[in-house]
Amino acid sequence: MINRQFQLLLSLILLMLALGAEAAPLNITDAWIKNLPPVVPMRAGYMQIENSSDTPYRITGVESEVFTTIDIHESIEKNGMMSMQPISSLVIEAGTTVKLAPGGIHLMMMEPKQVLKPGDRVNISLEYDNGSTQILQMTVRQ
Amino acid sequence: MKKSTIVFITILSLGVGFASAWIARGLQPIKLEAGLWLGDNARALPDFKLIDHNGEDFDRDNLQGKWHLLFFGYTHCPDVCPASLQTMADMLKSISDSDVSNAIRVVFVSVDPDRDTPEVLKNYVQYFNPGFIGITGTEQNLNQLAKTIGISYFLDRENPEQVSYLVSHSSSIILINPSVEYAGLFRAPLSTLAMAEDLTKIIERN
Ligand SMILES: [Cu+2]
Repeated sequence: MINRQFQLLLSLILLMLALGAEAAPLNITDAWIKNLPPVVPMRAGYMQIENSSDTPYRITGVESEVFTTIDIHESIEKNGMMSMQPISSLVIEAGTTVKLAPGGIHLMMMEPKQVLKPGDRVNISLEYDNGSTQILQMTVRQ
Repeated sequence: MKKSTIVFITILSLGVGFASAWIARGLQPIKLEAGLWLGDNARALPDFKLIDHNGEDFDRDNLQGKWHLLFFGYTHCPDVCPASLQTMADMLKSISDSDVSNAIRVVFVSVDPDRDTPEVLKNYVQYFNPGFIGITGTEQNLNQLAKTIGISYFLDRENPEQVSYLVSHSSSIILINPSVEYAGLFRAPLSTLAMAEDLTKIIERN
C-alpha cells in the first residue's frame, strides 16, 4: 500500500519536472522591432530577458523566417564614436535580467524578406547552448 | 527734488537695470538639463559644400536664419541613428504648438555617400519627419565639415568594392545657431523631454 502511494507520488514529481522543463525557460517581455523605411535593409530588435531560474542561459543563435540572418550586436562608445560589435553568445546569468535597448545590446536583423510596418508581428526563435529553443513574437513599432 | 532730477534718476536706474539684465544674459550660462551651451564660446562654422536629399547644393548659407540640429550618421545603421532621429522627431512633436519648434530644423549628415544617395536619404529622413533634411557629399567635403565641428567617424571598409560594412560615428547632436555658429551640443543618451526643455530655454533667450 505504502509502496503504491510512493509510486504515485514519484510519477507526479516526474510529471511536474517534465512540465517544468517544457515551460519557457526565460521570461521575455517587451519584444519589439524598430520600424524603418524599406530603403534600409536591416532592423534592430529589442526585448527584456529575465532568467529567474538558478542556472545561467546562453543564447547562441537567433532565427526567423522573416530575416535572412539575425546576429546579436552591441553598440558601444569608443574614442568618442559609437560602433556596433557582434556578440557571439549572450549569457543571461541566473536570477538576472538583460535588457536589449536602443544604444546598447540589440538584435541585428538583416534583409527583411517582406515589407514590415508598425503593428506587424514577427516570430523568432532563440537557441540556447543547452539545446533548447524558445519561440517568441516581436511587434514592429514606430 | 526738481522734476528734471527725478526724470534723470528714473532714466539712470532704468539704464542700469537694462544694462545689468543685458550683462547677466550674456554672462550667465544657461543651465541645461542635457545639453551643453557654448555661450560666448560659440564659433562660426566655416563654409562647406555638400548636397541635400534632392541633389541640390547645400552649404553654409542654407543654415542661415534658423536653429539647426546636426546629426552625423548613415542609413544602414539600425540602432543608434534611428533612435537619435526618432528622439528629435518626438521632441519636435512634443513642442509642435510652440514657436520654438518652427525655429528648429533637423539635418542628418550621412557620412556614407556610396550607399546613401540623395534618393535613399530622402526616403530615410522623411520617414521620421517630413521636415528633416538629409545631406551628404564627397568624402573630402564630409571630412572637412566633420573636422571643423569636431565630429569623428570611420568607415570600417577594406576596399571600395565591399558593399556590407559598418560605420563608427559620433553620437552627439550639434546645435547651430541662426548666425551659423556652433552654439552647443547634446550627447547620447538623449531624452525627448530634456532636449525640448533645453531648446526652449535657449531659443527663447536668444
Ligand atoms: Cu547592429
